[in-house]
Amino acid sequence: MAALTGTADDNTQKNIREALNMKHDTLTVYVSPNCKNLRFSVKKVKKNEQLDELQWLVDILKEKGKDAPKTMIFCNTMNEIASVINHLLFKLGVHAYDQKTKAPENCLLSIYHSNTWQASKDRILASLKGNGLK
Amino acid sequence: MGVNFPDIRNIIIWGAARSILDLHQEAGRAGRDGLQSHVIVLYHGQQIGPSEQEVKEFVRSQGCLRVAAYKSLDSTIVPLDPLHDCCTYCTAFCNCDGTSCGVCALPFESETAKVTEKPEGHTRNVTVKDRQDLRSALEEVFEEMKLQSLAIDESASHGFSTQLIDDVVKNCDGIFTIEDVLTNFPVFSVGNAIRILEVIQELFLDIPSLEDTLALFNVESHFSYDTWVNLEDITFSDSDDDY
Repeated sequence: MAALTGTADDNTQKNIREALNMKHDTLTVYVSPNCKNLRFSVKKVKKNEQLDELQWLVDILKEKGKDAPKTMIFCNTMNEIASVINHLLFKLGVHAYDQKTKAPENCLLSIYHSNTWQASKDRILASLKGNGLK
Repeated sequence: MGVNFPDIRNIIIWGAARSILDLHQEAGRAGRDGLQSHVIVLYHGQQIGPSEQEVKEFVRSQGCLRVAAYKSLDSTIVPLDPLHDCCTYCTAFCNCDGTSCGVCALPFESETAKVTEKPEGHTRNVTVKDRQDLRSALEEVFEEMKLQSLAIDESASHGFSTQLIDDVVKNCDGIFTIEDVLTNFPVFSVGNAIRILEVIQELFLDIPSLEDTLALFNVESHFSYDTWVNLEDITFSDSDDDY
């Protein structure tokens, strides 16, 4: 029997072994989850300056439009999503759209949430596979 | 999502994840094609409150961020070579050119350009009459909510109190975005913030792309606009009445 898991810390590995009644000397093949092409940055900011930290993204979007590097922003709450997207749209103004018309499919930004309508989800997924954003 | 997008170049983690595994799930969306990509955690103190200890240790790390991020999953983790591809901490020690490192600072690392005033007119002219209109419009919304929500106490279920109406009326010259409403007033739901914004828009017609924002929230506007007022046509100045 083989058990396969991704990104499990020691505790999770122990739980899995116990749940499956595996012996302690079970052969373990371990591959580090280390993604060598990811570069990490952490920046602690003041609460009221957090949105200003997105200025670089606004600049890139203004300059490159749909050719800007694809970027995802993960938020923890709906309110954070609201303030981030609102800030970006406000800063970008007309630059938030790929074309003159402000149709959703021309917008460079969108929200993807489990509650997002399926039609919007499909649009966003298609856009991410092609050359959209967020 | 279960869908794989190979060429995501940047992941911004707004306020850190709840657990270190979540953080890796999010980070792992970047660079599926194997090309250099970035994981940027942007947070302020309150946001990491609910996060588990490992996440706090990661964001507060005084050393290599890669080591801090992976140490609970890989006890043999070491900084990446070349150092400038590892993390912001290691970049400072990189001397891949012999004595220094020629890799320029990435855009998000440069000092945040101090934002020069809020963009395009962040106050509007508000007359005493406007304020009265705004108050009665908000009271109408308030009444409507009371009827719909069967609230016993005035603001019990929706948090739309008379105090809130007072505050919004008083400061309406500076409200342009959902963010403005959420950060400056005791409004706890995006829905209520949107209602307030809509009322303001109805009266002043000067909020750019409100409809688009609402469309993104999948909210249908409660009214339609007959005319769009062009921003450039309006001159903004500080309100000069005695509020």
